[in-house]
Amino acid sequence: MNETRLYYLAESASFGLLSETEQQELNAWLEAAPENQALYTEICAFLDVAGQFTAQVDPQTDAEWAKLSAAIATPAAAPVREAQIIRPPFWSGSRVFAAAASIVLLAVVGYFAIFKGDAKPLDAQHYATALGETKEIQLADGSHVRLNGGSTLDAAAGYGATDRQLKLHGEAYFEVAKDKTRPFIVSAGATHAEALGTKFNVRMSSADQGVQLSVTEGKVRFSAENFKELILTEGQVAHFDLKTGFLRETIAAKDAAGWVDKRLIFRDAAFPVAAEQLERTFGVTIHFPEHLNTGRLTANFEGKPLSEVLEVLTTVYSVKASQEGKVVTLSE
Amino acid sequence: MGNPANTKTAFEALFRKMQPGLVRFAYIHLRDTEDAREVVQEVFINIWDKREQLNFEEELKYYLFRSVKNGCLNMIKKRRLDTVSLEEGLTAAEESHDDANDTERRFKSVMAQINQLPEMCREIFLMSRMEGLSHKEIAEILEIAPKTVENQIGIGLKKIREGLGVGG
Repeated sequence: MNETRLYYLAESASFGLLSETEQQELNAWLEAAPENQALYTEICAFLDVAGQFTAQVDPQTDAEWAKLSAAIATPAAAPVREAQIIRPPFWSGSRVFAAAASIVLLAVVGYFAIFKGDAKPLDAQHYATALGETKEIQLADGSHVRLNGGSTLDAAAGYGATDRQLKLHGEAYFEVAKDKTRPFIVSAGATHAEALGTKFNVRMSSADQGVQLSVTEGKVRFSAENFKELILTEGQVAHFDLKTGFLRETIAAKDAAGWVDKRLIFRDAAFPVAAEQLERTFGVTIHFPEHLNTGRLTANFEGKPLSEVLEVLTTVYSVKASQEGKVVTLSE
Repeated sequence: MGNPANTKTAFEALFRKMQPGLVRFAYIHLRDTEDAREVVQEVFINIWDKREQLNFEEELKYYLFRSVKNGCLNMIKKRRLDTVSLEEGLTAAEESHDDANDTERRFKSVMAQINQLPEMCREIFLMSRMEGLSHKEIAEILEIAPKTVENQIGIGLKKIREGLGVGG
């Protein structure tokens, strides 16, 4: 076979783009000689490396959209009269409602996920924490879970029989007992994290339904229907939401899962997601003005009390903070 | 396009779907993430200004990629991008990782080979490596024959392999 043609076929095959005749052509060549197979394997290795070329590019879609959104909302950039955008007040401000709606939705989805099939609902386990509380859970298979505040974890009936399936809403840190025969899978929102013998943290945000996975030991397969999956290894962090799919993050995994050691570290985190994290940790509800929906936060709150955290927030965002009981209000 | 609020929602959806791929595409030409984001940003502002004349449909995808490419070429012209100094920067970056492990070294040497490919070959090869672009789509975006895409990918891979000194 012409060498250029072979390279082309290998490239297409790596994407599953080969037509039937092309596949036959490739197979015939591979079977013709053992060295062909070796050459092919080597080419596939290059292709893997080349695929990482753009991995260093961080598109920062959220921040860029915030900029663009501001640019097109000013009358100068919108020559057409119809362009004057009138956003209904509190378009995304009624966070409480959105959060409540998502919890209801999750409850419904969760119900079907847990009770479908023949398993008896009696055996299903449900764990929940209040804001500010954490819970240590020992599962039947020896795996250990630390559930962060304001979170729920459900083990389906028959957990551990053939596989180990858990459904998470909120955040938890998992230390998985090794068992190759029974896959350990945590579902959060639209995503599934399948552990391959390991320790990892899953955080789901009810603000945007996004899910962050950080792996502190071993390897985890991070997947969602209709999206290309990612395999994360020790030290890696990735985020998923339905708009952007899977994106790798540059924060260190041990920092992303810092709550386990009472460390709260944010690196260019979306403010609503960070606020939710603070709510979980300090057991408060935080109300904030609408413009902070697009805010970003980079901060290290290691061992800091809530009062100091609020002081930082008021300085960074030029807002006022007030606290009444368990409710913190940030205002302009 | 009717209701302006709906238009903006559609626009945001389009932006969120396309921006990451377009930034990576721009990066192939500019080799600078910030510049890449800036070019993409300008293209979307342009699109917004022209929204009355455009359909937010499949054809727009090709239009977006072509606009980003033009934006990149303009930026290169405007800044008289000094490719020599860029290559030097790249080499320096490679050397600084001398103590890195084998995988890292291998990655760097493959990157160096990719960067030495002829411009068109490099562009097509990397576009194909990015998610979501089939050979047919690359042909549409670059307005070239699908056969050319196939050939260039084959040639690119062959050159990379030879450059690594394992060919033959």
